[in-house]
Amino acid sequence: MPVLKLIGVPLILEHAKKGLSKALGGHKATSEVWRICTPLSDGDVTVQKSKFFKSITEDIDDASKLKTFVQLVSALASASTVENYHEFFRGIAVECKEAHGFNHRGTKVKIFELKRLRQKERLYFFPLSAKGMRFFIVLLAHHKKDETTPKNVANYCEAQAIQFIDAGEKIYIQE
Amino acid sequence: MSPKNREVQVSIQDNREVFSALRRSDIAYQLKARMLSKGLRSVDIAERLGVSEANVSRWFSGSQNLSLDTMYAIADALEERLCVLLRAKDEASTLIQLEDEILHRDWERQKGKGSLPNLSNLSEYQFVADNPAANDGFISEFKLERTA
Repeated sequence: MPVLKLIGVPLILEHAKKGLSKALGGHKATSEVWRICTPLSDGDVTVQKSKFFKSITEDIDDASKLKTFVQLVSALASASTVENYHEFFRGIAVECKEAHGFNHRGTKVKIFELKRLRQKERLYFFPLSAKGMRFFIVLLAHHKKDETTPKNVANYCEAQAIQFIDAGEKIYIQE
Repeated sequence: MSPKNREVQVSIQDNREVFSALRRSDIAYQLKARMLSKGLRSVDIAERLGVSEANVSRWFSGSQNLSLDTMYAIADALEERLCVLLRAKDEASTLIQLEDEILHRDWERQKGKGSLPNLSNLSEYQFVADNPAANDGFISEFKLERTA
């Protein structure tokens, strides 16, 4: 059974750098329309062992990358509070664009990336409605070196998206 | 300089750039999200404040260091309250824990009464519990922290 772990922004920030969540004063975001979560695989005992959190450790490894990354996380957090998140991203410094698309069961599935102009840091996610709720499934943080989305990133994101779309109501949501 | 002051100074210097980037974007994006949630557009904020739409777009870009006057003005245009609180660093997280505990207790109580047949876990309950409050009260709580 595929598992989604609900994650708060403070947890992501704290993993990126100890003490970083304190920069925001610990406020709780206003009501989420889209719940932010990340996949846990069988071997993941804690969310810190998840692919997403490992990707933060591996790719967001200096202050300059961190500076961009936190802005992407911050944008995702606020976008999660509005229905039309594409409208939210219009005109702000963080851009939300399709990084990879594919057809599954006759439907076009889109994996999105968040990025800042001229910066190489990316945050990959895809939106999913299941179990009467809506989710932003955050898949990877990445420091991109090429113009196109790397094959391994696209493959991983596609496999995860298919897994959760197919699972539908069988997805297990972990608090 | 006292060792304590020196320690705080180093910490602030180390974190300055990242904290600044995070705080600027966090506040601007919360304001924009609230605007959209209320069905308003940048042009509405511009008209209510008597400024250009381009100005409002710049405020919401997430890159600007918004002044207090600007933040309060946007809150006025949104017809919301902006709160700035000063809290000890540990207090904020304690409050979040408390909120979570209260929610959990409430969920257990409702479940015990059998009044939530359609909700299977705390997560779903939290989602339902959160949404009615979407239009209430505060624009957000921007907390200035003091070191203990």
